[in-house]
Amino acid sequence: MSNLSTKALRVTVPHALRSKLTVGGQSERHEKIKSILGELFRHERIEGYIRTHDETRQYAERLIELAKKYGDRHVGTMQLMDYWIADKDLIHKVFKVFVPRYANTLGPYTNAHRLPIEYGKHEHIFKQRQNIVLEMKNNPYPRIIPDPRNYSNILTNVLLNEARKEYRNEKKLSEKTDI
Amino acid sequence: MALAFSNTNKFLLNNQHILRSVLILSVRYKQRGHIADHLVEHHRKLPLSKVKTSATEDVSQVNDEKNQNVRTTPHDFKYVYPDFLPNPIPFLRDRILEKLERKDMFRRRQQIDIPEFYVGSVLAVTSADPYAPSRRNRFVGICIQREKHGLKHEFTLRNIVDGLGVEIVYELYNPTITRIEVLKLERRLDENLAYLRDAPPEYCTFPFDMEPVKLPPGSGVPLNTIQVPITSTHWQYKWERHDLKGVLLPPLPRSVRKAAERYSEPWRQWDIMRQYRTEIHDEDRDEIFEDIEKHKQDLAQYRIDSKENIKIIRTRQKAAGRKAILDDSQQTKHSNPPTSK
Repeated sequence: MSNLSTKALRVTVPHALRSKLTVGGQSERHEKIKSILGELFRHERIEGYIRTHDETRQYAERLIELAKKYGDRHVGTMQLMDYWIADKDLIHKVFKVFVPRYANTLGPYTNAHRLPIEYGKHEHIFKQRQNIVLEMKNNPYPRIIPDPRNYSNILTNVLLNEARKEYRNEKKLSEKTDI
Repeated sequence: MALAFSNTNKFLLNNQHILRSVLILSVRYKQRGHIADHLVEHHRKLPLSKVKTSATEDVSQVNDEKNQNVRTTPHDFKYVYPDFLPNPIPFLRDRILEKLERKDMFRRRQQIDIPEFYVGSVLAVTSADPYAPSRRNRFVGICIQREKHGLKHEFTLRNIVDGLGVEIVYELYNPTITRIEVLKLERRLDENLAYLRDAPPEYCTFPFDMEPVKLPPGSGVPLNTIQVPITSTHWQYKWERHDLKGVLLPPLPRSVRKAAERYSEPWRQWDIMRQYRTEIHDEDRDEIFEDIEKHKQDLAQYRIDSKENIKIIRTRQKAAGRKAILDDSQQTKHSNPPTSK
């Protein structure tokens, strides 16, 4: 894929790639990344070990960047998609859902949040295992970090509140008249 | 209801057959990752699926009746000016140094014409040599590799002189180089032709009085798909491990083949993040390309200016003397009458 190039990614890319995610060499490593990519594209919010999932995040970003730039008519890009995405319906999802969703955004297309470290839960009891939540941006789930902004004074909300009050008052009046 | 037997299965009625197919479809639909058969068939018939080669090169096929095997590649900025691309390793990069180097490279390009050439094209380089009788040294050879970035860009020419293989590494921006000619412009299947050292000598022998091969205007760079046999018994590198396309290897023993298989890296071409770390990204490339475009305009202006300078000098030399020029100028002054009265 030497002729494919994209913009610089907006996520942190360490100067060396983590080549030892799994036992068994690079092909096994690719299999691992493929499986996590499939989960991420299907469920849009996943949880897992930071070492694997942060590595997969870069691959997802790059794939979406390539899809945005070259489109679904480009042979090299489609071959890459075919290699990296095991479930073929997800290729349709990339081009029909993610590319239009992120058409106007420059930045990272994924969010990553660190989870609290739970001691004693894993195979090696005294070892830390930092897990993260990895999600696609603008997904349909409720937000992980709550939105601090106050929307109660927005005009539509004010009007709706007033309409609700009016409706209740009318209802009360009608009940009184009935009695 | 009309009783009609279907052609495919005689034990089923026509509508039963349809029902069964619908049922299969609905079952399959629930399977994870399944694509409908008609969709698969549609994509199989598309022209996109007919391309069997990998996407490493975008090569366009020329549909000529005479030479159907000739393939050409576009004049891409990345391939035309590989020397302008800086070192992609992030902690070795220095933006200011790159900018200054680019400026120096442009200044050198004002002095001599550095043509577009590739690994695989035949060049003739004339350089200043104080020990040669004519103070000039002209070497003809095939360019086998281009390496290093920026002002330090180097290319290697290889030829066989008197039965001895000779390779000269030239620095592209070395000021002692006075002329670079492209005798035959073409590309090969590989980025590095170091295997020509182990090939028979006729594949890298070029006469020093070789005449330049002319290409039709507006054509792409021809891609030479020649496969070079390797006949040497002592190889410089283990060529079977390098995934070379332009090489015809002799039959190898089983152990060597197995080792090559073990050391092969088929995943490398798919690893997009590994590739991301060895490339110059679009923003930087655009900046370099802008600089090159600006330099081209400047160069054209520079050429016009220098030509005018030469003309002025010539007119002075051709004139009989300084007095005659002065006389001419006085005459012209007198001949122009003042218009305002």
